[in-house]
Amino acid sequence: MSVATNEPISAIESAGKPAPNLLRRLPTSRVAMVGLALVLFWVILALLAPVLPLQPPNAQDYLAMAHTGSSAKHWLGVDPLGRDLLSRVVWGARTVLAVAPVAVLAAYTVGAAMGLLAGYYRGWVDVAISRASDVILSFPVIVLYVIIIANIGPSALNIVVAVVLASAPGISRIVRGLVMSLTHQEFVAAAYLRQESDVFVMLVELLPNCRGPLITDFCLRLGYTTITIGTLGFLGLGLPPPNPDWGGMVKQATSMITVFPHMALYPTAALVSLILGFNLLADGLTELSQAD
Amino acid sequence: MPLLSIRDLRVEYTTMRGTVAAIPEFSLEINEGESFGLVGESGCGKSTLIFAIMGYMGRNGAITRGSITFEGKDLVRASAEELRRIRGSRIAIVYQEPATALNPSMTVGRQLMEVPLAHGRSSTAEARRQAERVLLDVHLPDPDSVMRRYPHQLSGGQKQRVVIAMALLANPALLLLDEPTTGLDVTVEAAVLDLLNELRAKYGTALFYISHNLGVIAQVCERIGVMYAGKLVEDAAAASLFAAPRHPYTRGLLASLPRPGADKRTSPLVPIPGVVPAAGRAPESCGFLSRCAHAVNGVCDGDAVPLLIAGPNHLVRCARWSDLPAPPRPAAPAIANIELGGEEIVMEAHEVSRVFPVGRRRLLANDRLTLAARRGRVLAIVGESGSGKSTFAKVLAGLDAATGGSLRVLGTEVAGKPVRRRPADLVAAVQMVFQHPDGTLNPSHPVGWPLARSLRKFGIVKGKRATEERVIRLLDMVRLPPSLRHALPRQLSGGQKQRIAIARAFAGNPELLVADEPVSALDVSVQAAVINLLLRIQQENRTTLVFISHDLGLVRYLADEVVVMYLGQVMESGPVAALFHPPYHPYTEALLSAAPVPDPTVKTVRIRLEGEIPSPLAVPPGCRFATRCPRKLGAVCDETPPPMRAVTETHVIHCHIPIEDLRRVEPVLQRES
Amino acid sequence: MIRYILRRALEMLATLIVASFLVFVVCEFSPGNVARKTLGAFALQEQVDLLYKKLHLNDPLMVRYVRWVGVLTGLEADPLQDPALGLDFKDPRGARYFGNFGYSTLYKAPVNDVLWDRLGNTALLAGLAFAVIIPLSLVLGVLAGMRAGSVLDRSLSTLSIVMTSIPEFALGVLLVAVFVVALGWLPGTSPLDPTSGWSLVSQLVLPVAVLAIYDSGYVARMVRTSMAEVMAKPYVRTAVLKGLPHRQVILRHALRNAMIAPFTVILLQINWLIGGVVVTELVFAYPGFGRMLLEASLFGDVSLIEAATLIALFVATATQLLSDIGYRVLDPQARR
Repeated sequence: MSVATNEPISAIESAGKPAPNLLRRLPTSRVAMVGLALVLFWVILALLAPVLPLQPPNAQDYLAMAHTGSSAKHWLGVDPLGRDLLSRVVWGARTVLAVAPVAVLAAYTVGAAMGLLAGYYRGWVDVAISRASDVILSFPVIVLYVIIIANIGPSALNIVVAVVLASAPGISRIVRGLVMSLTHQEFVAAAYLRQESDVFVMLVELLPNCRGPLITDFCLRLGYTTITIGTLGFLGLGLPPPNPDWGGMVKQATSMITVFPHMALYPTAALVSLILGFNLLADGLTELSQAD
Repeated sequence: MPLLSIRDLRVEYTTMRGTVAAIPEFSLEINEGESFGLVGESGCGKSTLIFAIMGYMGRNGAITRGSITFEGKDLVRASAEELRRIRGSRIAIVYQEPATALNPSMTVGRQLMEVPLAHGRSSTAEARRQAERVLLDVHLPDPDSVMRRYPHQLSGGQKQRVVIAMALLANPALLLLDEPTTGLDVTVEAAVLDLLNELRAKYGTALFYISHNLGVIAQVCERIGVMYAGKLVEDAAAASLFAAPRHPYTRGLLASLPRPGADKRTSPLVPIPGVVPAAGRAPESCGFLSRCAHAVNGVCDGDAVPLLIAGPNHLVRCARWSDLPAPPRPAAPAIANIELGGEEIVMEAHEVSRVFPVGRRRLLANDRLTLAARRGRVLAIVGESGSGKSTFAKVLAGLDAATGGSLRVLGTEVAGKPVRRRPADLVAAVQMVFQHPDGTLNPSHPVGWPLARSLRKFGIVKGKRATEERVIRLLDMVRLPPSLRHALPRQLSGGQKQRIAIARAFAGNPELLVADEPVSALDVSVQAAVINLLLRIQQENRTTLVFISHDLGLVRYLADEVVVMYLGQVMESGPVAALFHPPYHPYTEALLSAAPVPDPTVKTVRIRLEGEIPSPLAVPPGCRFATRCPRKLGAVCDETPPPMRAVTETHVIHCHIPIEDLRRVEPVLQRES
Repeated sequence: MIRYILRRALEMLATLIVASFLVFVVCEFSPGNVARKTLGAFALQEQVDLLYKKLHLNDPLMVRYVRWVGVLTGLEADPLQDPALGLDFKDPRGARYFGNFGYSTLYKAPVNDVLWDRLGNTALLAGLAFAVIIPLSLVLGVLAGMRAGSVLDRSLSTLSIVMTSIPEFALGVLLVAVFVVALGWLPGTSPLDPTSGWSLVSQLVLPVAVLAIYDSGYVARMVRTSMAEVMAKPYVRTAVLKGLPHRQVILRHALRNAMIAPFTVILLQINWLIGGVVVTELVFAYPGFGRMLLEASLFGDVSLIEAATLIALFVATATQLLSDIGYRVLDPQARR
């Protein structure tokens, strides 16, 4: 897994050139719109899941296990335990879309705070935060996740904690770089000439200017985190059964793959499409911000 | 047959918003050995022109019409291989920023040698010899050592000489120069311009020199063209252009420049109203239409105005050139009643020092500065890079703290006290305007926001409505419409941003304003407007202005008193009139000689300084200027700090040479009779 | 330069020590687990409590950490191997030697017997993958970056985005579905067993393919971005306008500078290839390092976890050090 090592370099490159109406210009990028469409598709499905006419996702249909492929009752077939695949795929979207954004937002809050402090105060604050980040970043990411989850147990909250721990240092590095280049600008000096406090300068003058690169990074990280959640599920470290979790679903189906490939393929396709959506969105945003 | 002949050239770019004609129609001829200068401000298309000549316009640019004939061959229709053979060997370019134009991971020597090697003429050994020879030509001694270095190990001036050397290596017939001295210090710039003239005389190369700086062009070029909105609007011999400019834009440019002998009381700068149209947005008939005071409906807004003959060798693209009235005597300035201000000392620096520890050494950015500013007057601080003038500006404003000496501002001792430790009313009373319009406003906030914030922090007004009214009044003070307060900085032009910066500084009713090169980054035609604005506000409010600059011409125009700094120390200080004729400090003399004057009838005595400005980390114990001083007396200059000699009560020079000797020196600026 | 290397090596050591302490803390925070895990789930509680006392597991964390370091450096004997405990944990190398990582309760063997073997397997996989990834992504990235904005570039970009959007396990599953289930050309598992009926080479093809496909996309994009940026730089324009032939411009001016940033990225991939391939190893039942670490984590084999993590950390910091040094060598401006 390549989350922490695969830092989005392009986000750092566009430092200091924020485009507050980046979101407004979104429709001009085809790539971004395709990505957005994919993401929205799953978001809407996830929101509507309780009201859609679906089979209950955890109900085992023993009769269907004789013929596990598509049928009138089970449009996508059933999984090895006889549970309706379509319904599990749709409900699985809820799991992912509930956890991933929360985790990434939490990571951003922590990471941005760290980066702001490190980039603004420099000196020993920077050294301490950067060294701590280095230590965490030097763990191969998957090792980090495995150790954390294996020790504190799998649950939605713990996944959020693990994601925060693994992602915050990377985010803090980006923010730190941005802040360090921004503090040289003259509008910051102008703020000092108003006797503004440090907190004011950090939050009001500097932070809003980090928006541009961070928005792109946010989308990318949503993609990485979705991969993470899927992989954790696959490793058996995701949410405990019987919750529908795409990664876990693939894991259960792997043993059957030679006989019933569809059981693994549908959740895989769902996962890939969502991640692709985030990545395309991020790519489109990068293009837009660089066209400034 | 002319060396280079451009006919009806049209260059278009495809952008996200459609096709834009960066150069709608351009025609020009340059003869062998001639030096032609093209003057234009940012956005006029001059850089595009240079790269179009070389056939290098990037993915979205294309020449859609016209021809470029060089040595008989049409470059527009030439094949890639033909172009390659011409580039670097028959036509070469000298770039604006030598730091980025050179490959940072290749030695200078390799980059130089590539030229003769690529044009198939020599062996490696021969190429090396040629490279060494051309380095000597550009006055870089010890070529062997230079060739082994990487670009970042050379100074700015040295890098530019390397770029010039690289262009000359194959002995081209035509040299294209894209603002090659922008970003160099004045004394270094003067040396480079001399070099260009010398090389031209030696090799007979034709020069095509583009710049926004009329003074520099006047130094180097025999013929001058003026470019506006992608078209050539005037084309004349240098003397003729300055003596009798025909196009309203040219006239406007010249009127907005400080000229020797002119100062704020007698002949104000006359800015050109309006802004340069965006690329491709200018009307096809006449690009200058929207800003021209002489435009007449029916004449100027019809078909595209062609280049008309206005005299021998003098072309102008103006339908009304012969009807234009003689340039009016500038109206009495709105700042006519300029009192000199009072005698009260508002800022007094006594032996102020600012020392930066760098490793085990010390950087003496400011070394025992003693100067003063009086109420309502303009004190200019002049110097080149490394002089410490910006450091002093920051210390004065409180963005940095002095490490020694005494600095009294408005009666309060502030040495060693940065902004946070100063009383709030003092902070409101001492404000600053910065150099770069792009960084001066927070890109995420509407431009009215910092004004409102300043008003609130300084307690000038209370309540939303009162604040809003006051913001509108501040905008009005800087001649900007009230609606602009909701705009974001990137919707504003450079000049508008600087005006906002001035409004922001004046929000707290300051008594002392520190302006650090406030107009250096603006276009020439905008500079005049901002300077006028600044002076007007300063006069109306009796604000003391401390004006930092490297531009002697501008300083002469607007200052009342001047301080000349070099490498962290004061060399000379006194009333402005006294500074511009002998006795001068030798450095002041050199600065005056180096400053490019936009008037070919003014001759300057040539005084050129050897070498580069030394590093402020390793300053000599005696006089700072001793290592480069053309009037150095001897060992005494190296060993003993120079005494402060008073020419008059207000005019002092720090030099070992006695005043009487300095008085007898030939004045730098002389008018040809 | 030497001083720089020494300084960074010291920093690396410091980071390792701190990180290893953190790992120790996370793993041995609840010492009761250590004793329980050692004996297994079926042992009686009295036995667990006895072991707990014998191993001094109620000592403060710091003391236990120091003891662990002591065992590792050979200054102390591993208490678990004390024959008086009756646990029958035997290590042919002795109870006390430098590099004693202890005894694995999961595999019932000294850690050193398990660890290096698995590490070697993963290194084999990583090496092969690396040998595919580097040339592939360099070629694709440089070609795309050279012609930024062209059709080639856009299609490569899209391809690489798609490649990085497929999680490893999904890629594994997909490839298995095609090549094993549908076509039957390759084996579905890779236990590195020459007797299984499939050649060793054929067992390696799919895992290497998964790693290569997944990572090439990412690296190619980094190379492409760097190349495109360099091509837009003024000094490339200078080279072209000096009249240099196109090939020379690319090879001598552009590539040299374009490779600086990706160099560090590429080195960091080594780091990922060692620790991060657990998923692929799991999908293909490959006896590798990552899978070992996962199983150890799930089981709670503390000694193995600590040892494996330390190795992984070492690889990570070493590659970081190498990339920093390499960066300084490649970029003359960084040497100041």
